Amino acid sequence: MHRLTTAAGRQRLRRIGVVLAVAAALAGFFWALPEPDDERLAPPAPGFVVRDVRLFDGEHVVERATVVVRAGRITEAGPGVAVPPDLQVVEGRGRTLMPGLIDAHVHTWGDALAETLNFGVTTVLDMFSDPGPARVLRRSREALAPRAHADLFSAGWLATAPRGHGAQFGLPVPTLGTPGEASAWVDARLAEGSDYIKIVYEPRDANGLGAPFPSLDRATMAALIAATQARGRLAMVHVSRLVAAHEALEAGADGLVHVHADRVADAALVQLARERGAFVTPTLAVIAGFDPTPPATAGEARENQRFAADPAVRPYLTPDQRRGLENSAGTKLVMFRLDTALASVRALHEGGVDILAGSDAPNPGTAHGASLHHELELLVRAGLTPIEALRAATSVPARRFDLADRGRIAPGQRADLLLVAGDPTTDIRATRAIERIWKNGAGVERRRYPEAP
Amino acid sequence: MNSWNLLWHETVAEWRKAWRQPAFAIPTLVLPLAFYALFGIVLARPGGGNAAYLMATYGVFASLGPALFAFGAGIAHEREVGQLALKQVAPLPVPLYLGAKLLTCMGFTALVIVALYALAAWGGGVVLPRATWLQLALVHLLAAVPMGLLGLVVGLSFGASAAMGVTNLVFLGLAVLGGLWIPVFLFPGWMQALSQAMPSYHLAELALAVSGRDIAGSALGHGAAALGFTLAFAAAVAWAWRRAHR
Repeated sequence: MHRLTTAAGRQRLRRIGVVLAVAAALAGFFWALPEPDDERLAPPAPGFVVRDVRLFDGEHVVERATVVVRAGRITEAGPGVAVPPDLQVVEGRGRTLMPGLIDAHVHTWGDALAETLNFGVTTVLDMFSDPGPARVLRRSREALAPRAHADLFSAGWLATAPRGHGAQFGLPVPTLGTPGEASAWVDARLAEGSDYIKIVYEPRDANGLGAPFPSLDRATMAALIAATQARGRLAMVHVSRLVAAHEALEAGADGLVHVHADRVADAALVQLARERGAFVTPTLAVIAGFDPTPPATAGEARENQRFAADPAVRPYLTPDQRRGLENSAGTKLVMFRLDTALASVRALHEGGVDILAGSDAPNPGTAHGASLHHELELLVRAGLTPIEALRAATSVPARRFDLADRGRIAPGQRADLLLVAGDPTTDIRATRAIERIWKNGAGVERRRYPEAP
Repeated sequence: MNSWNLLWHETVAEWRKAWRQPAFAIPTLVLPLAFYALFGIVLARPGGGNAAYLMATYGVFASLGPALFAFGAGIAHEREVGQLALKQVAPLPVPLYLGAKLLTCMGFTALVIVALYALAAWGGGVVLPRATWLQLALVHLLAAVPMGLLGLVVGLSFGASAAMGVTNLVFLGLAVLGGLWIPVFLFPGWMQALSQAMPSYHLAELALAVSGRDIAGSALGHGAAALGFTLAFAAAVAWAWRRAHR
């Protein structure tokens, strides 16, 4: 002890003190950094009431309903619900309250999820993108903290052949070639955080005609579906031709993520899809973007350009989104015909097959968020009633993808909500007349992007 | 005094010297933070994942300023004013003199990354498991070693004014080609090839891998490359020291 009272000893003590203090400060700092599911995530918004509103609850329409939201969830919904005195009231008369929309086919990167939410789409099902960002967002996906972007469910990397569709973007897509690799490939995706599996199946036909890139063979496609389903997950297949659609359904695909576009769906395909309980996400919006058919009369705008000019849509598109929506002149794929696709959707829908609304944004002719509203209009053109189209963007994808607290308005559901002027259950284009958006019960400020004069 | 004592005192002296030039120390600390705040938070929109991505790469960028400007260009200046000669006649072994510089450089880097993480976590909404935060901090802190050695090579090889010019070039090359500001996968092929030759690229990829992203190539490979650069720079420091000896 005597030594410590010397000058050198005191100095040593002071030095140890400085080191300990710095170490303690650093430890405290790292302890305070936010972790996933951390209570330090912002608390949910307190809540609000929408009074006297036409309610589309994901399945049905209820007139003059009241919906109560507390702490990020819906607590009461229906006619005759009393307005609690402690919550802010939103007047619903003349308006329609719907679940936040679900886009069942997108590819996200960059600002996609914020652009998506700007159009009232609160959940997206990504069908191929880099799994890294999805893994980060997944950690807080189920939390009720307010956020300024849509929630993301993702397939991660897609299953495709070497140099096949999806491998052309320069991303490090892990490809495969034989049925024997299927189990390990699926395990690797699930380990990376994929919520489900997407498979590209674009085989050549008997005459050797077809897509100008290699495809997985039929046995590998089937092995991937079997491996995915054995692990309790959904397996979706990308096809663009009738024969391939048939083969994918025979292999047990849970869904097709495009409607094929070479020929109208025949009775055999409809019957097979219904018997197997498969769904179809037609992505009519992107097919419209690729359709090379010139407008019927000269000077008339093409389908996607007409949509892009809608004054209820246009001010909310970023400049990039505007370009994306109008971009289609240079991308003429001769095979895609919107008329054919519409007829197939009509046949599938009339045959009792589940239809899901998906835009395939941001492919040419589409834009995140916005194009789901276009898809809804096209689904109605294909023969769905407006209510059936709304179901295709709410309760049906929630049921098919097991999204327990999304896509419906009922007590206990996540308060992802969309308030629009007018009545989209009779005129589907009213979904674009967005007045309010809530994500996890917190209001979302819509962004406008003025165009240069 | 034993060696540890010497190292401690020399490091404290270096640290004080740096802080006594606030016009130098503060820009060094603030530049990466201001850049990150602009590109990772203000210009990035929520949900894009940019805040988390750029935090990994800006953590590597954080070590560039102290390493190259403070202790690279700084040492060239010290040589010119004769301070280095003074150090050599003093009873201080060379490794301790350089070691103290490296430790101070790491200290500066640590300050920046702590502020960077705070900015990313509470300004950019970055959320990571605790173990990941710590691993990332380790990668970022160790990134200061090869960068600091590279700074010393420049400082020992050039005169004060030349060192400033060279340092600027090296700084920009490491930041841009290393993908610290803009992801390398957005570059054309020939720039991507150049990136491979940048230690900052391998360090950034390592940081991205640690923070839970898929990267091109294996983390082990990038780690080996970073280690290789460190050893090469250490050898270059030894060689430059001998040449600069006077």
